[in-house]
Amino acid sequence: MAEAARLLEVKDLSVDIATADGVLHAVRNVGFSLNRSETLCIVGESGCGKSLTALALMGLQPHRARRSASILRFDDVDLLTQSPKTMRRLRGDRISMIFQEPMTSLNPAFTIGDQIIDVLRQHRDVSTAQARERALQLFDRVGISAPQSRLRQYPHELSGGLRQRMLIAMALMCGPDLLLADEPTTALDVTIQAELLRLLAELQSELGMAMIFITHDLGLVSRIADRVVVMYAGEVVESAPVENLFEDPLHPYTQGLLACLPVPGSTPRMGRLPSIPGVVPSLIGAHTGCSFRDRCAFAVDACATGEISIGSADERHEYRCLRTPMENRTGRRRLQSART
Amino acid sequence: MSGKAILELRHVEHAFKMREGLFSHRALQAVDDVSLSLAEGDVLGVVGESGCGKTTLLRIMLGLLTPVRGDILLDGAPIADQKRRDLARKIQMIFQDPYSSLNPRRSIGSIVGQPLEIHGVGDSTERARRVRELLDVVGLPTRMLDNYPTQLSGGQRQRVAIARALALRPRIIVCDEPTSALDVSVQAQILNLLLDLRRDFGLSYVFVSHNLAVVEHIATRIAVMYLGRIVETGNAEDIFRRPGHPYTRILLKSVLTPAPRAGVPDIQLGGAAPNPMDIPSGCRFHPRCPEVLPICATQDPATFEVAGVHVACHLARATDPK
Repeated sequence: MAEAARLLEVKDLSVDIATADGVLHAVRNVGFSLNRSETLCIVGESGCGKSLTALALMGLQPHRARRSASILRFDDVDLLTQSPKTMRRLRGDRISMIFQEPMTSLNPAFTIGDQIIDVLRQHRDVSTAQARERALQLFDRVGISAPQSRLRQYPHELSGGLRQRMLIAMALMCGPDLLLADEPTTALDVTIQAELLRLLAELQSELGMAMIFITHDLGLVSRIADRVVVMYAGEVVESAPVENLFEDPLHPYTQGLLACLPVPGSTPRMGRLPSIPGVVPSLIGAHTGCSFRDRCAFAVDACATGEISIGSADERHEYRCLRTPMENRTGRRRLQSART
Repeated sequence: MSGKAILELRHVEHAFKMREGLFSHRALQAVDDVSLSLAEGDVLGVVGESGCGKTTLLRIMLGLLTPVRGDILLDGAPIADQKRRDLARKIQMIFQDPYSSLNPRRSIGSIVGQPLEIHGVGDSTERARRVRELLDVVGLPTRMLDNYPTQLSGGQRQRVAIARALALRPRIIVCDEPTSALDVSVQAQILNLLLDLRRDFGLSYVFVSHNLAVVEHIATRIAVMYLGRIVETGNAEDIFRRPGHPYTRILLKSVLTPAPRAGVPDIQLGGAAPNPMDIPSGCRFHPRCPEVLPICATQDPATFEVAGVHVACHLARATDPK
C-alpha cells in the first residue's frame, strides 16, 4: 500500500467516561487506517462504541469524556494537538459528517438555504450568491427536485429522504476529503436507502473522497465497504477487507453476527435462527482478557486473563482472539453443521 | 397451514380530514378499499414504504380506529358489534419500540399482570402464578418480576411486551416492526420466540416490517401496500419467488443481502415519494413505475389472479386465466 494514499491513521484511540459507578471505558485502544477514496465500515451492535469512535476522531466526544490516542493523524494534520479553533475549521470543510436522524442535525428555526449557505461561508471567502449557486448545483447532483424553492423551506417541510439528501449536499459543500456517515440510512425506507447509498457511492468516486460508514447492518456493509472493522464492547475484534470478512470471518463474534442474519433464499424459512447467547459485559472498571469470552462457544481459561493478542490470517486480516485461524474456521464449520 | 379465516377485512376504507386553510378540509385517503383475510396459524406480513397506510390498517384491525367504510370480522362476527374488552381477549399488539411501549413507573410483574387485573382473571394468587408462567414462556427469569423497564435491555423489554400481549391468551397478535429497534443477535432471539409461540399456542400474527429479509423468514402470506391500497397479496413463498407487481419487485430488489463488493442495486424507482393527499390518476404507482404502459395513467387496474397471487396491475391481466 503506497504511503502517499494514506488519509487517516488511528492508533490506540480510547475514550473514557467518568460515571457515578466508576470509569466507563467506552472505546478501548481502537486502531485502523484509511486510504483516499476508500470506504471503511465500522460495524457492531448498540453500545459497542462505534459512534463514539467517530465523534472522538473529530474531537466531538462528550464533555465529561476523556480522549486519548497514540496516533490520530488526518493527512498532514495531527488531530491530537489541534486547538478547538482549528478543529472547528477542519470540520465541515475537509472532514464532514452526516448522522442518522436528519431532523436533529438541522436547525428547525432556519431555512435550508440559510443553513447550507452558512456552511460554505464559514469556511470559504465567498459571497452569499456564490454559495447559493454551489448549493443549487449540489441539490441537483443529490437529486433534490425544485432546488430553488427548497432553499426557502424549513426542515420540517421535507420528508426524511429529502432531509437526508439535504444533509449529504450540506456535507459536500466544501468538497471534503473524508466523510463520516453514522447510520445515515437507518431511519429510512429500504427503497430510499438503496437510492441514497448509490448516490453516496457515485459521489465518492466522482470526488475521490474517503468514507467511514458506521452501521449495524451487515448486508449494507457487504455492499459498500472496502474494509470492515468489527467492534465489540469498545474494542476492535476483527478488521479485514470486506470479502475476507464475509467469506472467512475469524472472530467468533463476527461469525455469530453473520449467522444470526436471516438471508432470503439461504436461511430456511421459519427455521430457528442462531443467536448469540448472553449480554454485552459492563464496560465500567478494569478489564482483563477477552470481552467476548462469556458468550463465546470456544472460551477457555486463558481467555479470562491478560491481554488478548492479535491473531492474523495475513497482514490485512486481523482478529483479537487466542485461537488460530484454522481453529476458528473449524469451529465455525462445526457450529454450522450442528445447526442443520 | 391455512385454516379458516379468523380475521377478515372487507373493502375497508379510511380517510383522515386534514385542515387546509381556515374553513376547508381535504381528505387524506390512508386506506383505500382493502380486503384481506388472516387464516388460523397464518403469519401475514404487511410491507410497504412509510406513509403507505400500514399503521392505519393495523389500528383498524385492532378496533382502535373505526373505518369510514367496510367491515372487519373477527371469528366471523363484525368487530363493530363487539366490546373493546372482548376484542382485547382475542387480538393483541406488540409495538416497535420497547423503550416507549412499557410504563417506566411500573414493575415488570405489574406490567404483565395488568391485563389480567383489568379483565378480572382469577384472584391475586392465581394472577401472580400466571405472571410467573408468562415470564417463563417468553424466556425471562422470574427474578425480574420486581425490576423496572429501565433495568432491562431492549431484547428483554420486547419479551416483556410479548408476555403482556400473551396474558389474555389472544388468538391474534399484531406486531408493528417488533424487531427494528433491536440488534441483529437479539432480533434472531425474538423471531425464534415468536415462531415458538405460534407453534405452542396456535397463534396467528399480522407482522408489519420494512425489513423484507425478516418478513421473508417469518411470514406465510404477504400483503404489499402502496398508497393505501394492497397491490399484491398471496402466499409468501410464491411472492418472494415470483413477485407479480412491479412495486413488489422493487421492494425485493432493495433488500441488501450479504454480497461483498456486489454494490447497491439500481432499483429504478422513478420520481419522488408520493403524496397521499394527491393520489395520481389511473394506477397510483404509475409515475414511479419502471414498467409503465400508456393505459396505466388513465385506468385504475383491477386485481388479477396469477397462480394464486392477487396482483393489482395492468401487466398481470395478460397472465390471468379468467
